[in-house]
Amino acid sequence: MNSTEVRGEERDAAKDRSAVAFFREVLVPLAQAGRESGREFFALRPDEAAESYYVEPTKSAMRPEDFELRACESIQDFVRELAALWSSEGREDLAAMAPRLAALASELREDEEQTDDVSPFMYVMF
Amino acid sequence: MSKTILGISAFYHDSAAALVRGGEIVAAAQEERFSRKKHDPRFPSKAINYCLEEAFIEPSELDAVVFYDNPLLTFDRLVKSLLTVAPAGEEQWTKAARSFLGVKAVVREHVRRALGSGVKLLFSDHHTAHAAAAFFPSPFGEAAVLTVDGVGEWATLTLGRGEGGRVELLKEIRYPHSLGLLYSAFTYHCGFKVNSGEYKLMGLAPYGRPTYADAIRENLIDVKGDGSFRLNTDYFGFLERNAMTNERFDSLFGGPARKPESRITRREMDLAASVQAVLEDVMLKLARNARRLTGSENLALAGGVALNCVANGKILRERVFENVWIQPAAGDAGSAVGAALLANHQYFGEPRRMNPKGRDTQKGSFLGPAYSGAEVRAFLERRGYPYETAADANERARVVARAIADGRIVGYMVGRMEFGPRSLGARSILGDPRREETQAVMNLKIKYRESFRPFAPAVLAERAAEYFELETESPYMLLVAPLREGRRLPMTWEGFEGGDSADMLEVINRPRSDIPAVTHVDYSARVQTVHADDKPDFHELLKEFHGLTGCAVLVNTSFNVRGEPIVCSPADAYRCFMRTEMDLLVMEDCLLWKAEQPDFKDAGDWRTEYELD
Repeated sequence: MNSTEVRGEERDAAKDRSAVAFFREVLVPLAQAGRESGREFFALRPDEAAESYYVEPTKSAMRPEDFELRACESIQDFVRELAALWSSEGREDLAAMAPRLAALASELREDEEQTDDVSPFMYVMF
Repeated sequence: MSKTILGISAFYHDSAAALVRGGEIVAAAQEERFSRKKHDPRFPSKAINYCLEEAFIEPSELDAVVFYDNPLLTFDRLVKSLLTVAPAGEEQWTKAARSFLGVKAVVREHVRRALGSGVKLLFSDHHTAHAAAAFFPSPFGEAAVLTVDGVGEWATLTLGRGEGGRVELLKEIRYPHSLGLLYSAFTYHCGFKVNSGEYKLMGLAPYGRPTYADAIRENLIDVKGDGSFRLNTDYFGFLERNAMTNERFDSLFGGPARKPESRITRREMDLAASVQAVLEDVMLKLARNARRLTGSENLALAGGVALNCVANGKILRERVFENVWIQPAAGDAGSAVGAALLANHQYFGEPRRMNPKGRDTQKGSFLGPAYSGAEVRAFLERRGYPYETAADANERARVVARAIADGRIVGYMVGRMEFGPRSLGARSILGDPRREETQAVMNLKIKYRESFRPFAPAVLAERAAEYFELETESPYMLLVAPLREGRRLPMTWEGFEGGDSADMLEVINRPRSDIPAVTHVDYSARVQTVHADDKPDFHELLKEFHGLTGCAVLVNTSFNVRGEPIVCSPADAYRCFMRTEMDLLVMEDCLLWKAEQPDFKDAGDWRTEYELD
């Protein structure tokens, strides 16, 4: 292994550590608080009493303004728009993680294009 | 003034680009065909370059680039999914955060790098792009639209309606309740690869009996009368870990997942039959509800589940709709086309262009690169590979038809490459369907893939009804139809019903029709009807073969070996030809006989070059 590869591995390990720290310090407490308050993001099991499981789409047809998504101009915009989305849903607890998320995103930024396959078991994450 | 729009699908599975000009699909291709990396998820720089070249334009001439989904909503789902299961899910988060925040969240940077900073970047919603890919290229002025996949943003399924230049969604099912994820869970449990092995599971189903279907309905999925459904996530692993299923799933279905490449047993066959039966039931109910909601006689389908051609065939045969059209690139790659068409009509307000002949505007899905005869000859001359030149297309058809009738296996690369997962006669391996040994030879000596997998018939469109119980065109190999009764031979399952010792190869080799190589063990076939308007050279070849043999059918399988992307260029085609036991390679007007070729030396063991799918 040459020195470039060693540096790459160290960089990867540092990124993993940052992501893990965010998970443990931010997401886990938020999840625990959510469970204690009894709030759910989605149902996990069938509801025999329900007549139908269909829901209305958030928007039925895309209007011209729906195509223009400022969120993907930069990572700062992305986190800002995400926080705005969560605030609009009344989830200030989620919106409050925006500064840490922005910091994490800056750390995780890849200089190179994604080269690894996405694991098939990460299906639902994408 | 007409708009020129580039659609992009990227960063998860099977990246692709598509170029639409004035509402016409000018070009579309998957990145894997150029990068030679199966299901390449990377930003599709090579496919974009091809699309721009095909349209003879510079990036500055693009009116817009449209990305196929909304990364903001996808990340929102990712976070909320993890907040549902944390402290479980740490490994998932670590991988997803790096990939998502490091790459996908900054689509603008990738577009800037590839196309410069002056390009307008737009985004479509994931399922709306699927719906657009289903409806806009279809031959319908109006239609019900059904999109079904694993998940995209929050939706896993939508029911909608298309009319003129507009698609609208009426109902949806949201994550984690997903027909695609249910099917993928069984794909994984049966030892196949998620996202590519679903096709194998579908092919395995006819060997089994649906003995687990009730267990699936009672424990895994609750389906209402209107086709809506919800999963019981207690049986799945995808929420909190890197697995589709969990111990509870294992225990319900008699043990852990089959190890990839290990022997396939009666259990996997029955599981495949069971989940296929459940999927078909749900799809029929969904289709009936779509008909009721929209009142339309026409159905347009897309999303990865729409590649389940057995379920598609059921919808057609049950006459839920009068007409059904399925986007041939039904998975996420096709959303590059959908996103571009959607922006053309619903962002720029450009009118939709229909095919004046009443057919679709997908152009047979021959939307990829072609190599001229001169380019092929230049390649062959440079490498010193011996070849013959056919005087014209008719002579080529005669020589190739004769070779196939004599039992030769032919690699056939003529015209523009297909867009989507199926080979339709531009990058195909062809064989004689009448021969009992063809299926085994093509699976084991040409494709190097599992012996149980059936091959598809390409049939002259005007003679399809002589062979199959199919009353409509199936140009994209997306409808399964039964073989006509009169062509079937009595088939015994004796010795197979006993259980785990079943010898599938023995069953496969039993004659079951006058075209055994393309007749599955349940007398079904995944039909491609070949129309002279879509692919005149392939139509001519079928006509020649019919004239020679009285058979209007050829075996048509993709021009690749297992795990390899379908060939694109002459170099890809020649390499694949020489690595396998094909007899003849046709590249435009050039004919190469294997026996005349010099020894072919690979740099290493090519069988390890491609990861098995």
